[in-house]
Amino acid sequence: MNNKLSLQLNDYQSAEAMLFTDEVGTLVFQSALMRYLAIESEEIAREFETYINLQIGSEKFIESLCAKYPKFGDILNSEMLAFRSEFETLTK
Amino acid sequence: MEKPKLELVANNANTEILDQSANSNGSLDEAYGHVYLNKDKPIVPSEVLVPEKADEQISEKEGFARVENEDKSQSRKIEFEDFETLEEVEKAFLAAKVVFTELTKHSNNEVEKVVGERMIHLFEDSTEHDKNLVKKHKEKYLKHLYLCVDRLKEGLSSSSSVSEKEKVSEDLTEEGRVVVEPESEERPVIATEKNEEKTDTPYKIARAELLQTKKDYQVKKETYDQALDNYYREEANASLFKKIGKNILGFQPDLPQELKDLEKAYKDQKGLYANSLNSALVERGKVNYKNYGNEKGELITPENPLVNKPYESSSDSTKIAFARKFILKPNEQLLQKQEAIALSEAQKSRMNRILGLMSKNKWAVRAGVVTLAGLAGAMTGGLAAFAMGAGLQASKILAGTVSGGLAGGAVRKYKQGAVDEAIKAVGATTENIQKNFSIADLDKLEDSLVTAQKIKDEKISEQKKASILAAVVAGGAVSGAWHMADSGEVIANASEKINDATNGMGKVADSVWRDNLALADLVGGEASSAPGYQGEGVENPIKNEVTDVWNASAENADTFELSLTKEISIPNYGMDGAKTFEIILQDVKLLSSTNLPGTLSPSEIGIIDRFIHLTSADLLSAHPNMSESDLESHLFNKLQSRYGDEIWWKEGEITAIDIGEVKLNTLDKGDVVEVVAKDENISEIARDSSPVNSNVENTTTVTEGVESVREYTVVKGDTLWDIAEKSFAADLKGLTVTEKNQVLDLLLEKARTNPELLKTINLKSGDVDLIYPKEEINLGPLGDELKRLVDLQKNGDLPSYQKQATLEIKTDSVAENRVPINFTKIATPIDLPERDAFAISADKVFNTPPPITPPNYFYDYPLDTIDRGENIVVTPEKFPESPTSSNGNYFETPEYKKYVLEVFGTEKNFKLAFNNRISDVEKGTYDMFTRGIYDSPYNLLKSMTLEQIEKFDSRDSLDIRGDLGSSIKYETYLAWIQKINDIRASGVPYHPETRLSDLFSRYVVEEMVERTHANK
Repeated sequence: MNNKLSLQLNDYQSAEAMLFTDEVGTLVFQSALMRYLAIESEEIAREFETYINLQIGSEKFIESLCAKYPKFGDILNSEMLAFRSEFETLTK
Repeated sequence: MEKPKLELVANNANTEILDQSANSNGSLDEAYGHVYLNKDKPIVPSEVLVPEKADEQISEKEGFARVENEDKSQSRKIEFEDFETLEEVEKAFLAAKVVFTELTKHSNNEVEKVVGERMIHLFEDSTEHDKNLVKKHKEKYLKHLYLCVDRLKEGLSSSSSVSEKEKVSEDLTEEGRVVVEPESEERPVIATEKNEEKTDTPYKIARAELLQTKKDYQVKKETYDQALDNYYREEANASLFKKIGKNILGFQPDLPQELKDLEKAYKDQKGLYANSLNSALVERGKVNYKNYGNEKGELITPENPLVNKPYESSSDSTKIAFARKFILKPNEQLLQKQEAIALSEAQKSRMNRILGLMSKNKWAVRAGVVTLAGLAGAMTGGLAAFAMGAGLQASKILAGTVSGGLAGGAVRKYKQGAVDEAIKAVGATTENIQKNFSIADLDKLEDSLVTAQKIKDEKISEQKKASILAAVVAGGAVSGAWHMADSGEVIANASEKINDATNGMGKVADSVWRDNLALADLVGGEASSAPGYQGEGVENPIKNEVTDVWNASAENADTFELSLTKEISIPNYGMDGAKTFEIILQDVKLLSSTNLPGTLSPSEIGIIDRFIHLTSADLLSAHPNMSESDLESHLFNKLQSRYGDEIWWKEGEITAIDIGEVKLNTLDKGDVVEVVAKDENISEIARDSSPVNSNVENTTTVTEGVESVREYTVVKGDTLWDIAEKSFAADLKGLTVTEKNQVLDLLLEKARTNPELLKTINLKSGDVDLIYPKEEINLGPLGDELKRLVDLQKNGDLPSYQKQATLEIKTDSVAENRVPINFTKIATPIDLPERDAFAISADKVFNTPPPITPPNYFYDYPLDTIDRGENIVVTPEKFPESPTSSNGNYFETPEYKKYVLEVFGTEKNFKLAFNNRISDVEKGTYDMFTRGIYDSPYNLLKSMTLEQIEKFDSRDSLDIRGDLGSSIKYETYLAWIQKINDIRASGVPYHPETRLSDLFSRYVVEEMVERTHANK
């Protein structure tokens, strides 16, 4: 059969797409968070959590978080790429 | 007159089916059959009508499910469409409810009736604050309701006799709308699938291929999962995570080659399976339509192609469904597996809390957008679509992420000019993409964007190129542009305080910081109720750092709002028998009119954090003649008189009572800080407060002999701590920040407690905590003392430092009391940067560090709403013998505590494990967004006996749901019922009158014992 699977969305602004995006984002964040907490010291992890607690409402939260905790930024970035490759594997 | 016919055509049912399949690993054949029926012709009893009312409620444009009159009075059908608003969902629901109600009158399918009613109830009872969340939930319930309707239809149609089917065919034919090929082997009715063997149609081929690929996929997945489980188990037992430094977590863990091979085989097969499924669905859809014609009732032939595709493989819903099934779900399971094995209980708790925060604060949305950058790149071949779809802000956020990651080092060196140039370079192209975006043109547009970027890149440094490359790697060139535009700026200033860089707080940031000091002082220092305070320059007996803060803040009057709520928690039982009283600040808000909220550096947060979690034996030390038990009893009596017999504190562990509230609104000069004790008891305790003590007797002053002179004129905003730090910088050189702070702390404490040294400073107020602008002071002897302390510090002989301050409390604006608070000075866990040493110049602030072993920080409890059940009385005589308990009252026996201590090390660890086990029970019932939103059923059930729970559960599900309310998810409740049954079956001793809290605690302990033994 030649019905090639495509996951290219037509509308990235639809509520459904955004909802899906949120899900993906949360999952990727979760993965990065797990990796980060697994390797980080208790002290830094506590500070990290407190930072999120206090900053979570800010507009540039992700920017600040990754700037403040570059190790987490690295991990988040790598998880993002890893997740992206999942899509590529599925649709190749 | 002919009766109208109802047809449910659920295009999006494909989505649902995929979800179901993903959830249950169930048969896709079932899903197939289901879609099949959805697409089936209207085999509906003539009694099932759409009432006129429903028709009125739904218009073509309004509803998600709309009723179309194709042939006016002849036939109507309901179609799924995408919801745009909650209102649409609700209108569609009304229509579906009407249909469902009609169907239930004729169906014997009790299961579907119950499920459908449950969905209706859930739908109508869904009352989240967040409209989007409500919409999402209601969509889900509505889809399930549609499925119920389908299944009811299926039951009705399958119970129809052959003659009824023929009658339907006749009816359909009579309508002249559909041409049916009754002899077709491909007629999409499950019962006739036995005929499929006759011809190898494309659909059959696709289906056979699907079945095979699915089978292969399941085998490979199982093999891989098993191997992965074994590997993780071995790794966990070997505790090699940190030692080896390899990453075995995340989406692409570093695995042994053998496992990698299995993983590759599994993923390749998954790809085949997904593509087979897609093909089969497409072919099935064609068959379906071929048999039944297009919507105009015309037979589909090569000359008469499909007008509407019955299976929209190109629809976003389908794609998302595929992505959920084949990517999200498996990876979610992978993470759960990793989390269970790789993280400690404390780490799990922390992770759950952070994820809970995300779902509560909706920033998950932004996290999703960040990720979409990478995702969209994969799905569209570039990031341009993402930039269009998710908006520019998303690109900025992505850029922030990227800059914190791969390109952080390079971006750090960016200059603003280059950043501006880069923005300019790609700006036009980006705009072009935004205006003229289309998938078809995506590659071309992106190429132009990349080209534009490339040209600019040639003009900038290699470092910039590296950074852009990093951004492009992460998602695309647009990201690169924004990366340079925004995050570059942020990172460029990363070494400075984040306030300045991100929010432009500049000067006022310091005031924010000082507000923090005020906050801290109010909690731990000599809090300023300051009833007689009249502002700067006025002699006032109330004096402390708050005054300075006050002045500083007053410069920016109406700029800041600071509010906080202070709570004191009682009692906190330690395993060592000690009781701790904990002061907690909650709802700390630092707001300004121009920057909401202020951004704080980690070290600043660290300081606040310490005060948030300031723990001490304040009240006990305030009343040295009162025993702990008397104090506790006294407080409990007060609590009871205040809160009565409310269950939250009578039956649960008391976590906090509010003793006061501090509010600083619009910091105008002359405002009064109030710490109003709401509980008279505190005042009563405070009344006999002991005098302030100091533990620095073993240091001696150097004020004898000739006094040195070193004059300094105070300027506005100074504190003596600041002055000392600046003036004696040379002497302090070589010390770490922590050591320096320790020296300065001691120095000021010496000045405070040694009248002779104090006198040499020539303070107008006679108090080191109250200095005035333009005041001339002498730092000579102070400097000599500092040198001596520095020497002691360098030799490691600096005495430990303990300070007592007082917490002032004004009770109903009448009585003032002072509650001495002891603080034990310890080394700060992290050396603070220079700026912080300056910022925390208020000695009282710095002198209130965190305790050495901070007990029970509030964030150690992942589920704030969960109260342990230790205070629940278990009837001893009815409780079965426990292996660790002699009298059966599990909670009250020393054996229990001893046992817990042996197993968990500390009670805190037990609490963590306990809460994590609760999370384990529940997390499968929440999706990523609802994690942390719902209340735990455990709170409801914990005080019930098993007998009561059985009774509770034996009722009608609607009644149960009614009791659960909207705050407790029914699925979570069911998970608990299942867990309870599992525990009972596991051999943990119980009795009908055992309470859940007891049973579950035992389970947690036993499980840990079992796990420990297994690891051994």
